[in-house]
Amino acid sequence: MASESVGFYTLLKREFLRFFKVPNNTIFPQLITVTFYFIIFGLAIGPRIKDIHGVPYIVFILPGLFVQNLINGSYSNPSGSLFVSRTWGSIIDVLLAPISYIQFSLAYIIAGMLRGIFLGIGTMLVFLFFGKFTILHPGIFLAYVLLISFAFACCGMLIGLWSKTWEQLNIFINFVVTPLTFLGGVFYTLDMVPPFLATITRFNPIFYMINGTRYGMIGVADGNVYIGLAFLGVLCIALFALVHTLIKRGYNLRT
Amino acid sequence: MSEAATQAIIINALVKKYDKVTAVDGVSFSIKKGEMFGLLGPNGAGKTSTINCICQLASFSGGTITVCDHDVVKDYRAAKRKIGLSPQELTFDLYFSVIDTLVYTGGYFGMRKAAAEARAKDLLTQFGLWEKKSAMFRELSGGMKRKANIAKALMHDPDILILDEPTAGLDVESRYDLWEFIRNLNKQGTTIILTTHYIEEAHRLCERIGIIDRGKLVKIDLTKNIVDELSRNVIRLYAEKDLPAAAFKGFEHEVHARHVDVFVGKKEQSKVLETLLKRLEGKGLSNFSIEEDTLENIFRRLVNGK
Repeated sequence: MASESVGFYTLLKREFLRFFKVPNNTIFPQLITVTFYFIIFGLAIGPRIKDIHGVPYIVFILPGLFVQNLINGSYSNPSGSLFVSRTWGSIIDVLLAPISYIQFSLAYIIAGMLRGIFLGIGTMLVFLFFGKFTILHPGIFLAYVLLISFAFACCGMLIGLWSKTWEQLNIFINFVVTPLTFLGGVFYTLDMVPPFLATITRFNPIFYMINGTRYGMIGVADGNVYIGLAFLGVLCIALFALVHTLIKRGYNLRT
Repeated sequence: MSEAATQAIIINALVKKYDKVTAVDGVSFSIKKGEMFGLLGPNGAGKTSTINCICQLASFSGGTITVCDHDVVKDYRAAKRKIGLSPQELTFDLYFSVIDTLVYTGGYFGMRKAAAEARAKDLLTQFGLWEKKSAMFRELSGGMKRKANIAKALMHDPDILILDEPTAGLDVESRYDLWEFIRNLNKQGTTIILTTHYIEEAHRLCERIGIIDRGKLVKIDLTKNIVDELSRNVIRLYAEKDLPAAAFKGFEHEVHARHVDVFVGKKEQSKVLETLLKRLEGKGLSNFSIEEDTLENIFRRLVNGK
């Protein structure tokens, strides 16, 4: 490995390993929560609901819960790390290092993606206690996983850079991501809800993310998954451009 | 050899503003390779802002800074490779142990793991912290944190070491040990830039000093020259009875109950003393002493006008 990339790799490794240091905060709560979802919605309520798109309800909700943890992990890693290191001043170690602005951005983003994917895989492993799942379109599934995690890792960086308080740090996840995820079709299809809710759902970007991931897993979708992919691709480019610009300008990093 | 080749840092017309406050106001100076340079100034004078601009921890509004011929903005990666900074604020990672933090720091500067581990062991041993290698940074005492921060700054064996208040919080023994360590490092060719509130520290260590006040560089010269030029020594003349006022004509002086203080520059001291002794011969002079001025007093006069 060339010494030019050692700095990037070191930062990426630190950011990835950091969340293993506090698993009671970063890993177990999410996996315990998803276990309860599988128990309540899959085992308790699920059998009373008829199959959706030809699959049992518990299998139907798996992609949505997978995306929920993918988003949470991807977002929380860079946002929490940047906020804490800015607050404690330890960000100075990274700012002093001869790491390029692109490497700086990518290290945090990729570490966030890895945490999201780790939690997503954890969600699937938990699901194995309740049933079997499929990935019928691995290419589509992988593309959605990578683009969703990239987009939300970028969002995490933006909020981590912007936040000055813990309250601000949690605004995005509490008031934007969580409501949009629950109203994004994790637990329902468009034809299961009243028309006004179906209309609202169609304007929800997370609906298309869950929809595409669900298509990748069980092979059915409420809309065109390629349009969703294109939208996600454009979103990722725009978010990364914004992240890179702010890092280069030293927004809330340099005085 | 060109100027750029011999200079570790060249600062030209540096301006740093925080909203409407100008923290650094057109400061220009350069530091030679291998030099031990002291940057002094009262709180809020602009020392840390200047250092932060050099290290790219702060953006600046005007001027240029080059580090070993690399512009710190355009060629920031090459410039950063040359610098190790031990900041005034004791910062540490919440999640990693002392040795892990040092090894990661080495990694940021391109060191492979084995080399970084060996270097970290060497530095922690030198600073007497090897036994604390597995402790979390936050568990260390203030003095240990300070030493660990300096070790962190040295991980990549920088050409230039910037120490912002390095001995703050250290006990006397540790302070002397650190001075010795810094001297040895400088002898091996590392350029040292020191900011300190302890003027004595700068006097002992630095061959050249810059004094910054309210964002402006008010004095920069060899430490010896500053002391020689700006010293205001005191010739203290003791007497059993009042000495004649005429003897002090032309000299700045203060009359006390049992002595008279005559203030004089270091260069004129011998001549003035000779004149005074002649004028006071047989006038009741019982004894005299000379009190050397200190760099601390010179510094206070420069920045406060006292």
